[in-house]
Amino acid sequence: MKTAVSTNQLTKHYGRIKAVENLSLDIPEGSVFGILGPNGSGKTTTIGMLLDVLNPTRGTFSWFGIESGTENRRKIGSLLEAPCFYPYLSAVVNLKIIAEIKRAGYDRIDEVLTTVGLYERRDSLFHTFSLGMKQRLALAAALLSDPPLLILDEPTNGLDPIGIAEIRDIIMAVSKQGKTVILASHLLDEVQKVCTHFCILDKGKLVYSGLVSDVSETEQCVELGATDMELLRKTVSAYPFMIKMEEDNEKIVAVVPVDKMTAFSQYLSKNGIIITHFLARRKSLEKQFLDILNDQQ
Amino acid sequence: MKRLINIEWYKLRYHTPFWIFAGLHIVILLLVFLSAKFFLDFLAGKGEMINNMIDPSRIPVLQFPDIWHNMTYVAGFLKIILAIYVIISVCNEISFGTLRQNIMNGMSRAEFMLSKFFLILLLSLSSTIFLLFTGLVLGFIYTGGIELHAVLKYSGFLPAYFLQVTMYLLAAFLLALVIRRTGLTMGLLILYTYIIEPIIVFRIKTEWIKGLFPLKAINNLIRFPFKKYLLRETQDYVAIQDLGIALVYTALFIYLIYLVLKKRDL
Repeated sequence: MKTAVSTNQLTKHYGRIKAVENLSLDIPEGSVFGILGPNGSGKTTTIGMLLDVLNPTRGTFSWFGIESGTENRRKIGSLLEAPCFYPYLSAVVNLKIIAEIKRAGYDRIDEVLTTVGLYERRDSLFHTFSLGMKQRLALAAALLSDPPLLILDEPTNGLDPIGIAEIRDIIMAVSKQGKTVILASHLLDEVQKVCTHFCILDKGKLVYSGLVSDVSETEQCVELGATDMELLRKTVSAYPFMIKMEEDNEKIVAVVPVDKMTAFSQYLSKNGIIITHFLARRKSLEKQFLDILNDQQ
Repeated sequence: MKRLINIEWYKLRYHTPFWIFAGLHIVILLLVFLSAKFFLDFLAGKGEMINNMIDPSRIPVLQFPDIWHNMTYVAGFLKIILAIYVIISVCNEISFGTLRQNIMNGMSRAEFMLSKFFLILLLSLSSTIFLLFTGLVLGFIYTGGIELHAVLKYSGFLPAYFLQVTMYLLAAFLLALVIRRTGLTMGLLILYTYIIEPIIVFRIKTEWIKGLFPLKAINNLIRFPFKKYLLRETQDYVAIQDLGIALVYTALFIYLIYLVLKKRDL
């Protein structure tokens, strides 16, 4: 698989603060790549360097195998933190300026405004927009040149639940076209829903990098409830493949191997248990995330 | 290049302060030129004589060929108005976050610099053209018996004025990039232009060292013209060493602007 972005020992120091330290990372082409990390872990600094707005202290990076340059940035749609536009210009004029910068035509402006639901407000001045609308316009700008790669940093900031779902749909649609998406976020749930790959940064260092599907595959956590709780407790604790069992609020939480799930369910019914509550919890990325961060300390 | 001009022009044409500052500059220039003549006529009307021998109304301030030297010299005082607009424009890019955003979108730092050079050249070129037209109109009104030779003489001060304004606006651009706050930059530019450098220069005795200061270098392109009406010696041309110092400063300003933009984390 080709790499869309590759960094080599990328480092950024602000005086004594090491915002990013020796980051070497390969982001495969066509992936939806989540960059996770607590606040201040260096996510935005990394993206800032990749987009040439911050000068690295040392280290290099390349886009599609080419060293940095303006040519590369024109092929990238980016959305970073707060949306920045000329407040006294309308949505359309702001997008025209971006189209000129990206050497893209004006013909996609109406299309991207429709995609993000701002077509009706295209002639309104930017400063009259709400935060959510500003964020939508930033997304329109990122999509404007139909880029092969999207970089999104906390794209759901300030959006309502509908907006968040729309962003997710857009990411999925873009990814389905074989394009690469890089998504920096501290919202783990968000990353788990859309990403194929992820990495975790902590205090500027890369602490984990892998596939989202690798997480949560071996163990399955289930919540159980039954008419006869006493019998349920006895039966479950006697199950031979049980990894862990906890009692929680009139419910029993059992962790069993994923490949034993069907057998486990058959075992319960064979023992005459009438199930009233059955919920398969995904072992969340959040758990994994916290585990990895705890291991670091 | 056309692309960068398009980009900058979108930002300018819908920016109300741009038209306000451009209009203000023109109106004040016209007021100053016209009031000079009225003022001299007024003095003459009261029977005042300069040096007890010259009738103020007969001083050819607005006549060919003196008009070019006089106009460009006086107009030089008003370049602060254009500089303030340049400061607003550059500081806005920083405070709106659009400088950063534009770079992320694929503009190079050099291209950003060039797009602001377009703004600067637009301002200095259009005010030079404005002076050319106003000079021609006023000159033809106030000069009796026009000769082509007289119209052309001293017209070299127009390109000197163009260079002077361009340099000053470049200095404003540099200062705005370094300081980044609109109000603070304006305050410092005004303070430096009208107080700090004049005081320093005043305390220096040697003439050629005075000419090495940036503002003095800018202003030396067009020397004080009115001494000749007091029958004193006046430098009525652009001296080659003044031009040389000015060009060195121009290159220095451009280089420093490029350096600041290149090194800066946005």
